[in-house]
Amino acid sequence: MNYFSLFSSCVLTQGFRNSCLVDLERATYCSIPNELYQIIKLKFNIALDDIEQGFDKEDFQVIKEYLSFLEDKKFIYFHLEKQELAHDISKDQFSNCHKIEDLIFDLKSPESFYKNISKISADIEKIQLRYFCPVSITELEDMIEILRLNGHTNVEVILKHHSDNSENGYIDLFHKYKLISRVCVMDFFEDKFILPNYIIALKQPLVSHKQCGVISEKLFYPNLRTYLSSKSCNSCLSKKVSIDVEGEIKNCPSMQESFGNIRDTSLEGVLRQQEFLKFWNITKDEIEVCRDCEFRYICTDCRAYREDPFNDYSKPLKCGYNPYTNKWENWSESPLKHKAIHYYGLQDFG
Amino acid sequence: MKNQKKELINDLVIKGILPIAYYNSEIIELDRDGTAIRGSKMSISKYKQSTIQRAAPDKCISKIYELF
Repeated sequence: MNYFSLFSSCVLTQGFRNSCLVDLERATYCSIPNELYQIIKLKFNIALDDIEQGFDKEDFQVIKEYLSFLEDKKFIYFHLEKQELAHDISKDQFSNCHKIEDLIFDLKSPESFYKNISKISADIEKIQLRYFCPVSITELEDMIEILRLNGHTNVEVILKHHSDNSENGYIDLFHKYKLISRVCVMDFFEDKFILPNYIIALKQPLVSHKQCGVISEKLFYPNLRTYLSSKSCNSCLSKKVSIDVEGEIKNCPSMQESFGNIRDTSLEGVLRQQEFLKFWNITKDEIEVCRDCEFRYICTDCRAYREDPFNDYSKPLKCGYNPYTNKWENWSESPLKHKAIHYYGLQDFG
Repeated sequence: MKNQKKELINDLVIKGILPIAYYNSEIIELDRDGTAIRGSKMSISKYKQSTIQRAAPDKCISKIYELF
């Protein structure tokens, strides 16, 4: 008898009309119709004969073409005998030893970095520095050196390009410091990868935290971490702390509520406030519209800008995907979002 | 107590009984001319970040830019 199985790194997410088949190891995915989801949802040891008996000849032919496509894309494989069940990774749990996984540190000048860096402990998995001012390579290096001496091991930098900086300057700095995991240079002359996957240059200007929160297919992370954490906690805010340009400690710099200023409030103290943790466990399965989306476990969330600002469980405002039609549209042009766009003052950030 | 433990470990390292394993501890560095310098491993450039691996950018922390 002929059987087929999904590779054990592949997982399925059912949406309203389509489903998403993701290979978490190769970080690749494809959309499939829900009819096909029903056929392959068992994942392992699916007998072709059983499928043939359940459909007429014409439909079975279409199913075989789909299966051939999935085999070609290495999501499934065929075998002649039943195999021992593989470990189902979709049932695993994600855990992390850090109290804070991500710290976003917004800066309007290098001085604000020096003023506050001593208050940031090393027990943070990743720091993201976002400079809303041009920063020279020398200034950047001085700040990275301080982070290194403080024991940080994972730093991501987003900055406005400084006219004195060269592409080689960014590359040299990246190679010198292993703690830099990614650099994103904005306000650059052109869109390009200065170092593929690690140093990205963009023409897009860096103006304000209000630019944040865009849900785009280009920002999907179809990996095991994103998949498992999205199922159990909020994919944007869980274990995240942010310090905005004024030093206010928030869940995210784009959010209104402050839990104290870094000059007189400790990050540990903020973590003890129950109100600070209220968004951490809101999963995509609880968010309106997202819960019907096939991409819900590989994209990220945004609780700062919501379609309904007064509903904590409302769909992210800057998401243009409609899981009921499977179409992407420009979120800022949707008439249904205009009220919220005005509420947040996002008219210039579409 | 912590410092005493560090001392003990450093002495074991100096005697060659333990490998250099404590990134934050003070170590003895022999200069080219044979001078012994006692200092933090982190401040001696040849040891800088020798023990860490570069983290993979596996997560979207903020969605402030759009990729092309």
